[in-house]
Amino acid sequence: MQEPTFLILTALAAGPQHGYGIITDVLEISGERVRLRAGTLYAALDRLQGERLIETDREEVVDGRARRYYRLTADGAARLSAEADRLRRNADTAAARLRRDPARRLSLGGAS
Amino acid sequence: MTTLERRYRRLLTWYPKDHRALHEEEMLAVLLAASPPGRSRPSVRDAFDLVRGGLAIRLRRIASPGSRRRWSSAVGLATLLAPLTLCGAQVFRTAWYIEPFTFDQALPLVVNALPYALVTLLVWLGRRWAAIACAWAVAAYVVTKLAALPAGTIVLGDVLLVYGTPWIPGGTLLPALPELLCAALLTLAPSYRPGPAGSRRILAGAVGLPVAGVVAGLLPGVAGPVLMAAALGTVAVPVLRSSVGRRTAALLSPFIAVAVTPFWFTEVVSLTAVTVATAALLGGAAWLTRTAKPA
Repeated sequence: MQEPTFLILTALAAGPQHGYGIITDVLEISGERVRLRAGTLYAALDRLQGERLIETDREEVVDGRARRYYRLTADGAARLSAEADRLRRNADTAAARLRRDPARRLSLGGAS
Repeated sequence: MTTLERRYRRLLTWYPKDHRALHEEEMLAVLLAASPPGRSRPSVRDAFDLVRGGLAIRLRRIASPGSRRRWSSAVGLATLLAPLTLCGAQVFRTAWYIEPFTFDQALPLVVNALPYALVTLLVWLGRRWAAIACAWAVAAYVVTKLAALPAGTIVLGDVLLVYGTPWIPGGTLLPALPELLCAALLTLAPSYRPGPAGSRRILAGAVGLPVAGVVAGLLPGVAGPVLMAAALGTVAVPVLRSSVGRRTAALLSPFIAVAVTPFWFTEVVSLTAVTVATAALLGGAAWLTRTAKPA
């Protein structure tokens, strides 16, 4: 799973959001590192809907324009959870191996 | 409507119609909310991103499960129509070049069409390996026959032999291209299924077309072209209205072009273009078909 996809699913894990809401949330989650553009976002939403990982939650009309809210499906939640586990395992392995090397222990800030 | 909004709307025409109907207003709201005040035209990166997103969605539509099944039907139809076209093209040329039409002159050329009649039959019976072997054997035979011709021979179709300077190196091998394409198509197609509903009609039309071509070649005066145009119209309209028909037509288009009008492809540029386009088309269709799930 690519990072923007992971971040979009993460944004929707907290509850239904509309397009611009997802963009601002992803920006925040990623620590201002990933700024999604509309083309990237809607291509990803189209693909995720096709894979039934997300679905339309509801529509509202704001300033005369339709605003559509998206939510995570059960499949989407399962995929996100599996991906989060995978990333956590990778991160844990990396940290454990770095700790094993005495030369790097200080730079990690560990007291041991 | 502001200038910026109009410009964004123009960029959104890169998206498929059904996507725009659902999401255009929503995307505009997002784009306008994300653009800084005072901006009157989309930034280059935003424009690029929108175009790329639109193309990605269009590409995914081509590879959607429903679309893959239609490609699968189209490949199944094309495997039958390709050898049939070659068979028909031989008969067609016979009728076209020989005037006045006499049976003993036509006979050897009709015999030339028999191998593809056999390939068509094998495909129809679903004998995949026999059809592939037969198609490659015919292609190999045509290639060796052409390669054995003296240097400077130009072959147009299977009828005209002109002595002169070759237009392109290896130009004498050009007429083997349809045969090679047919063999490649039969090899790449995962299975020979005539396909679901609708394809039977397309098949009937496609069989009728070479027959009409032969009859048109034999008719005197304007009656021939009129009959041919009427037959083309009768077949082309329903074929192009059906999604399987459009895909089949796309698959066979380079093939038919080379088989029917070989004199268009005597230059390096057009020959390279048709080869690359056909390779991309056959490769893409084979991939879509092989990854298609049954309905």
